Amino acid sequence: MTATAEPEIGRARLRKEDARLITGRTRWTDNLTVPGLLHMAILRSPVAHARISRIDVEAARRMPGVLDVVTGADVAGIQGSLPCAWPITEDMKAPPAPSLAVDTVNFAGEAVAVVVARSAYEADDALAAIDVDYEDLPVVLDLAAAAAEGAELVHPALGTNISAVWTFDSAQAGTGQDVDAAIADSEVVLRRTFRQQRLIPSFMEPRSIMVDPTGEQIIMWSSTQVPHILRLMVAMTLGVPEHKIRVIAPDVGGGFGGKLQVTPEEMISVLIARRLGKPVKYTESRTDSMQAAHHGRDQIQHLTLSARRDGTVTGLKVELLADMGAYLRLVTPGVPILGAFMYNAIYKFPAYKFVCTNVFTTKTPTDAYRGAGRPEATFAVERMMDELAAELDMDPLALREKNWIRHDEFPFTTVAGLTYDSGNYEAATARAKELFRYDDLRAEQRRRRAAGDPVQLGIGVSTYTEMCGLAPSRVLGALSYAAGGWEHAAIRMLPTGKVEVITGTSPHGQGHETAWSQIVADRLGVPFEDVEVIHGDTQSAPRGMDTYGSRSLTVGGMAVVGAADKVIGKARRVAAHLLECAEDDLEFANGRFTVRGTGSATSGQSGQSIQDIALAVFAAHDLPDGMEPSLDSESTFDPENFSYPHGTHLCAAEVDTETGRVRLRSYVCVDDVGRVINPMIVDGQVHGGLAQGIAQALFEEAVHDEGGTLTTASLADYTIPSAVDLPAFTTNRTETPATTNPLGVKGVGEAGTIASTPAVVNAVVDAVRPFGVSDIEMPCTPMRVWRAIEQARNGAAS
Amino acid sequence: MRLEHEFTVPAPPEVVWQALTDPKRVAPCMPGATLSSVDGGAFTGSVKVKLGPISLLYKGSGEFAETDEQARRAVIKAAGKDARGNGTASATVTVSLTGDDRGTAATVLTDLAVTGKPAQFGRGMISEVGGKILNTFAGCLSGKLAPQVDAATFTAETAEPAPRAERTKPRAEEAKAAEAEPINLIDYAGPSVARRIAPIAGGGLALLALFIVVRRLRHRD
Repeated sequence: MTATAEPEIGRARLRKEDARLITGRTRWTDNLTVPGLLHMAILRSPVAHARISRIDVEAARRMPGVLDVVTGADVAGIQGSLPCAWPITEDMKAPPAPSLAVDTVNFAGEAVAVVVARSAYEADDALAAIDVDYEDLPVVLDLAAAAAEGAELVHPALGTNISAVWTFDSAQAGTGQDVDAAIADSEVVLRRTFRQQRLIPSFMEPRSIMVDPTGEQIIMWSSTQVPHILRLMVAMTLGVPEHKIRVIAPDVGGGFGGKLQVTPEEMISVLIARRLGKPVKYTESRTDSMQAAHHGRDQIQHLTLSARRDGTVTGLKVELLADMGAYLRLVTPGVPILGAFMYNAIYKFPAYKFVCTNVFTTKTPTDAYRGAGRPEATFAVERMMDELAAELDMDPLALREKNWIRHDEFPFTTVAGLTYDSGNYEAATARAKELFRYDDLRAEQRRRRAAGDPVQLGIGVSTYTEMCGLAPSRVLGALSYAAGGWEHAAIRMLPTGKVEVITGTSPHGQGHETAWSQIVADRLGVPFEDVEVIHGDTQSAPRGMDTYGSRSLTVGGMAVVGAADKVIGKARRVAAHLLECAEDDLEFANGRFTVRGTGSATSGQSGQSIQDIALAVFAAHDLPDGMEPSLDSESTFDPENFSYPHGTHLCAAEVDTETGRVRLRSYVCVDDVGRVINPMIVDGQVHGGLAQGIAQALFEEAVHDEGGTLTTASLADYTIPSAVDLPAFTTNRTETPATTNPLGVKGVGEAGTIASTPAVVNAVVDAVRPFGVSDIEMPCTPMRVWRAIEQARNGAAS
Repeated sequence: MRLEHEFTVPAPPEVVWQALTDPKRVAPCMPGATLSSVDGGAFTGSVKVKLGPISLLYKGSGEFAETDEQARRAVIKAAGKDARGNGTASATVTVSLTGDDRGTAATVLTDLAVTGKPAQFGRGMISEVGGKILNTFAGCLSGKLAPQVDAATFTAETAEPAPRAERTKPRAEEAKAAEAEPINLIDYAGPSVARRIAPIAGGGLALLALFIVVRRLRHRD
C-alpha cells in the first residue's frame, strides 16, 4: 500500500458504466422480458383538434394475436387525470388530462386507443383496423394569436386559452426598484422580441415501459428520470396503493428533461396490465416519441432594457408568452418560472419585473428540457447585452464587466431575490479571452469588414450563471411546487469490506456510478473498485427525488457524503473499543483508524481498517455495549441554497453573406462549476451541452403545418447535429468552490446548453450587423440569415 | 396548403367540360381512384396511395359544390380518411377551362389539408407530385376525348411526361368496375423526393449516406 493514495476526487477516471452503456448489452427496458409478456401498440390521433364521434374496434379485435383493444371510453372512470405538480398560481386553469383521449383529441399524437397482442408486430398491425371518426375542431397553433382576445379555444370549458399569469416585481418583493420608473428615467431604452422555438428533447433511447402485475406488488420498469416521483404519481392518479407498486428505472439512455415526466403511456401500461392481469410492454417508435413525448422551450419573449449612456444597466422588464401545449404535464407551468430568477443573470440590475402568461395551444405539451427556463432567460439577457453594446458602441465584454457582480461582492443578493454564494466572473472571462485570442479575432474582424469580405467573421459573447441543485424545499414551497427538493442516500458496509452506495438520484447517462464511487472511495478510504452504486429501484433505493436541474451531485452527492460520515462515526466507536482508546484519540485517514500520536496513521501497519471493522461488526462478537451490529447509515440532505455555476463562452462564426451559411470556426468556454469530482465527466457534460445549445441556435426546430401536424417527426426532418456539424471545442475551467455544500460543487449538467445558444446567435448577428441586421430568429438557418441580410439591405436602400 | 397546376387537353372546352363534370368519366383517369357511387353532383369513392412503406386508402365523399358552365368553372369539395387510421385529407379543387376548338387549357387551384403520416413524411413532395399526377390525368383524358391526337405533345408544355405514365394510363383505362391500382407517389416524385423518403423506408447501410445528404439539404434551408 502506498503511503498516501492518490485522491479519487479530481481524478479523470474512465466511467465504470460506459462499457455496458455504449455496447447496449445492458438492461434497457426494451431488453427486458418476463414470462407471458404481452405487447401494446398505441393508436395516436392524426389530427390536432377534433371530437371523437365514433371508434370501431371490432375488426381490430379479430386480428391475429390480438387479446384486447381498449379506448378512452373503456377506462374513463378509472384513468384519472395525469398529474401537474406545479400549480403556479391559485387560479391556474388546468384541463383534465386523460391518458387515453375520451371525447376529444387536443394534439396530433395524443393516445386514442390501445391494442394488446401476443407480439409487438401483431399489436402494431391491428392498429390499422381501428376505425375512428374525427369531427374537426379549430386548431390553435399560433402562440400570440392563442393568447389574444377572441381566439379559438383549445379547451372551451375553460373559457380561455390562458392558463395562468405569474408575476415577479422587484419593487413589490422589496428586492429592487420600480422598473417602469427606471425605464422612464433612463437615457437608453432597448426593446426586443425573441422567439424561443419549440424543441424536441431527442433522447437516444425512446421511452419504454413494462408492467408486471402478477406478484403481490405491481412491478413497473420504465425508461424514466424519475422512478420515485412516478411511483407516487401512479398511486395518486390511479388509486393503486403506494406500497403495492415498485418502480424500476433500469439503465436509461438519456433524457435531457424529456423523461422528467409521468406519461400517458406509463399510466396506460398500468391500467392495461391490471385489466388483463398479465404483464405488458410498450416501446415507442422514434416518430411516436417525437410527437407524443413532451417538447421544450416555445416562448415569445418581449424584453425592455434600460441603461445609462455609460453602459450601466438600470432596469429590465420581461414579458413572456409560454406555450404549454394542449395539457399541463408534470412541471409544465413551472418551466418559465424557473427562468424568472435568471433574467438578471450575473448583472446588478437595480429594477426588474417579470410577467409570464402561460397559454394553451393544440400542440404536444411542453415541459422541462435541458436547462428548463434558464437557457431562455440567459439567451434573452445575453442577446440584450450585445444589443446594448452595439447601441452604445462599446465592447460587449467591457459592457458586461461594467455591470456584473465583482468577485469581492459575494455573497450577493440579486434583484430577483436569490443570494449568489460565490463566483469569479473576472477570472473566467479573462481566461476565455486569452484562449480565444479575442483581441486578434476582433482585429481580423475589422480587417475583413473593411475589405468587404463576402464571408464575414462574427464574435459572440455569452456569460451565464444558473440556479442549480434543485432545490431548497422551502423555496419550492414558496413557489407552490407540490414536493420538496431534498435527496437521500444510504451506505451499506458489507462483511468483506465492500461498499454499497444507494442513491435516490437515478442517472440516465450522467455517470453517477463513477462519480459517487470516487466520492465514497475518498471519504471511506476504500478502493474505487470496491464501491457499487445502486439506484433507480424503489425497492432497493426507496427514497429519492430523482435527477434533473443539475441536482444529482450538489444535492444527492451531499447525502452520500452525509451517509459516509455517519458510517465513519459508527466505525469510530468500534475502533475505539477494539483499540482500547477514547474515540477522540483516533485519527481516520486512508480508510484506517489509528491512535493519535503513534505516527502510523498512513503506514497501514497498525490500527484498524474500516474493512476490518466491517467484518468485526458483522461477527458482532465484541462490540461496544449497546451498539447495534451494523455500520450501515443513511442521510437526507436538503440544500439551504441553490448553487450557482457560471462561465464565459466565446464563439467565432464565419457567415457567408452571399449564401447565409454559418460555419462555427472556434468555440471557447471557461466554466466555473466549483470543485470537480471527475474532469472527464465534466468535459463530457459540457461537450454534450454545447452541442444541444448550438443545435437550438443553428439547426433544430419543431415545425407544425397549418393543420397542426408535426412535420419534423423523424430524425431526417428534425436536424439534430452530429460531430461534423460542430467545431472542436476548447473547454477550460476556473474553480471557485461553492460555499453552500461540503464538497464545494455546483453542478454541470445544463451549463453548456445555457450559454452556447446566445453565444452562437450573438456571433451570427455580430457578423452581419454592418449590413443593418440586429436579430435573426432561431434556428439561424442559411435561408433565415440570407433573408435577414437581404431585408436589411433593401430596408437601407428604401 | 394551396397548390396551383395547369394542364392542357387537345379537345374543345365544351367537350372537356362535359367530361370533367361527370364523375364517372373523371374517375377512371385519376390515378389510384375508384368511384363507388354517384348521386347527382355527389359521389363517394376511394383513392389508394403508396408512400414508401406507407399504404393509404382514403375513403370519402365529394361533391360538385359549384358548376358554372357559362364561366367553365367548377368547384369540387372532397374529404376522406385513410381506412388504416393514418390520417385524413380534404381538398377544395377549383377548375377553370379556357381555350378554343384546337384545345383546352385547365387551371387547377387546390386547397389541400392533409393530416397524419402523409403530412409528416410526404409534405415536401405533394406539390411536385401533384403536378405530375395531373399530367397523367390529362394524358388519360386526352386519350379518351381526342384519341386521334397524341396527348404527349400537348401535355409536354407543363412538365416532362410522368414517369411510368405508360403503365398507369392503360391500367387506368382498363379499370372499369375493377379497383384502381394504388398510385405510388415515389414513382411520381423527383429524385430529391425519393431521397427524402428513403430514410423512412428504413434499413440498409446505404441509407446512412442518404440520411447525411438529406440532413445537409435541410440545414441549408
